Amino acid sequence: MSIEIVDPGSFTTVQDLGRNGYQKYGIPPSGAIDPHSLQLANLLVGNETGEAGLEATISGPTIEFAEATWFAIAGTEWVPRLNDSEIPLWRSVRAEAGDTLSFDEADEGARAYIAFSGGVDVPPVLGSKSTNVRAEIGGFEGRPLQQGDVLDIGSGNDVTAQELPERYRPDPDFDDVRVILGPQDDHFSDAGIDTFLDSTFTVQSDSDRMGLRFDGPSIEHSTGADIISEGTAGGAVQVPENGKPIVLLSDRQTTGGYAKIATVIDADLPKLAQMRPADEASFSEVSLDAAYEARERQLETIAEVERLLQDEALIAEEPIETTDEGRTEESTGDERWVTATMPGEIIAIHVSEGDEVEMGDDLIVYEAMKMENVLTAPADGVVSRINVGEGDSVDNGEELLSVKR
Amino acid sequence: MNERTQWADLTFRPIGDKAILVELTREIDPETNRKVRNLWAALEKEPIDGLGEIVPGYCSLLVYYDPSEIRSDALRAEIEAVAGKITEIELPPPKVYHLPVLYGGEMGPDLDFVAEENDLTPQAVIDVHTSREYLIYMIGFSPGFPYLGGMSEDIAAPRLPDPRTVTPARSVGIAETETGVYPVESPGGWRIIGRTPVELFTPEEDPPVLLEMGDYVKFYEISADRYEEIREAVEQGTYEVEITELEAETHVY
Repeated sequence: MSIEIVDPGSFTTVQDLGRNGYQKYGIPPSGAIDPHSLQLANLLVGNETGEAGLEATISGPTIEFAEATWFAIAGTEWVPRLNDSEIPLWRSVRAEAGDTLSFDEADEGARAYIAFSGGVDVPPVLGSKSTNVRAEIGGFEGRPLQQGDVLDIGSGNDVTAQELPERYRPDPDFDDVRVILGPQDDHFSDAGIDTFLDSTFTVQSDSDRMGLRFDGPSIEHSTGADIISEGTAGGAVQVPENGKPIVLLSDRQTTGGYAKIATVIDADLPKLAQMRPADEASFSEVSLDAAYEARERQLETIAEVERLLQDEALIAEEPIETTDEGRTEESTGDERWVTATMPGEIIAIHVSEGDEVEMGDDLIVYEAMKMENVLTAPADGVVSRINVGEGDSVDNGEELLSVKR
Repeated sequence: MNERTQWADLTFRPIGDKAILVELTREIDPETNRKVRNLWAALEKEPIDGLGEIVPGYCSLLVYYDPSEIRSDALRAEIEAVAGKITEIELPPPKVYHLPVLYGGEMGPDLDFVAEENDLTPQAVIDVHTSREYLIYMIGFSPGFPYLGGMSEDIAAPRLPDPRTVTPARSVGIAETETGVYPVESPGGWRIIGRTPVELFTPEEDPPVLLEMGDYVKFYEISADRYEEIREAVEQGTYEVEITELEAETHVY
């Protein structure tokens, strides 16, 4: 069994629950930024919770299935399609040989997880299939997926079409992130801690899997931003000299020398995973007991979902009707816009107005979240209008270029 | 009566709901760092239920735990108990890794800057840099990166005002009074004075890194020809880093 990457989207990697036991050697755990969603997606297709799937970022991949394969997608606000037909998130879906999974551009939510029955079959490196792009290890050749990659999928499980009711899905509202103060809250003034807990912060476009960078009012230190380097945990909120918080994520440096004002509780990691540039969030303090309780509830959810799925108690009511028609065959003659999916800067435009293009051709390259994003033609046609130039800054959702059929 | 001397005054700091920081002091010195290794060894020897990864630092240990098995208060008590029982620990004899370095030229573009900054000739900088054994205080930042201590202030140099976006793998650098080696290509602001042909990060092996905390690094100068020879041997898997041993350290507390 295998799948082919027709278009990798902006940044898609193989991830499982991460690499355990190597932080003492400077190797970060990596793994899904939102392990909770990956586990639920795995359960929907009969996998062990820790099986490797794909983590898509901002703009989803286009994937062709070589054989019939069960898969499930966990995420918020994303609109996946199997061939032409919209399909639901949080549901096991069967693709037939030759079917193509793609995603419409979503305005919200930064990450989705695609689990395949049998899991993505790549060789584990240091005990994990997770991709660490910086160290060039794990996943598919230690790098993000590229057009034309063919990934093996393990032999599938016996799956029935089941759907996860809303109450078991992570809360899509991420604007309030719960934290526990420390380990270096004593490096901050009382005013600095108030600023941190009472303000709204905005996600910056240079965020990535190492850390979520925020802008907002400057958080005041009392004894300086520097500490003697020590181990760093996922969710730690470090505040360098400029007073702007950075929340460390799965690919973080294992040690660091900036004071950490607080740490995001484990149960709120799914919220961090869904933040995209320009999103706003605030932080609120909770007790350790409240954090333990929230985590227990999350673990109970996974255990309960596992039980319900085994009992086939979540059978999806409506069958999914898919056609085998490609989307290029529908509604010819219209104009389709290529839009920016996050704020960024145009680096290159490969076409001019009037050029003929084929579906999948590279049109525009722009940089956001430290990644070069290549936007490709949504259909065969002629480039009708170009609204931007190289070097322009663009906003989320901005129409950049249109293709007319 | 075998009364314990004041071994260490541990401070516990919360790191969210899955880890705690065990802090010995907030100072960098070899004695504290050895105590970190003592406590680490003791915790590995007598595993506590629910204890996860341990990430030792200069003067602290980050300890992960599984809150389904043990909670913070109980874990603190267990760690205190383990620490309380430490009276004498024999750490393995420290190793000295002898790392060949091609200094200057393309491999060390900042050697001349470091020399000028300190009113030395480039060769004098090399002589000072190769004269000492550097303690590996901890491994972190990137895979296999050693935080080395003990460099002479005679060859100290400020960081680059604009960090490079790419520092090649195996570059040897200086930042203020610290020296180190970048195991993998990374951005960075260190002054690069040379490059070693030896790999510090080998993900296909376990352990995947050459250097370990508590050991020492000593650099020695090689020619461009020797660099190429060693590089070839490294790529063929036939090169072995020269390692010598220091005397075993036994410490009675």
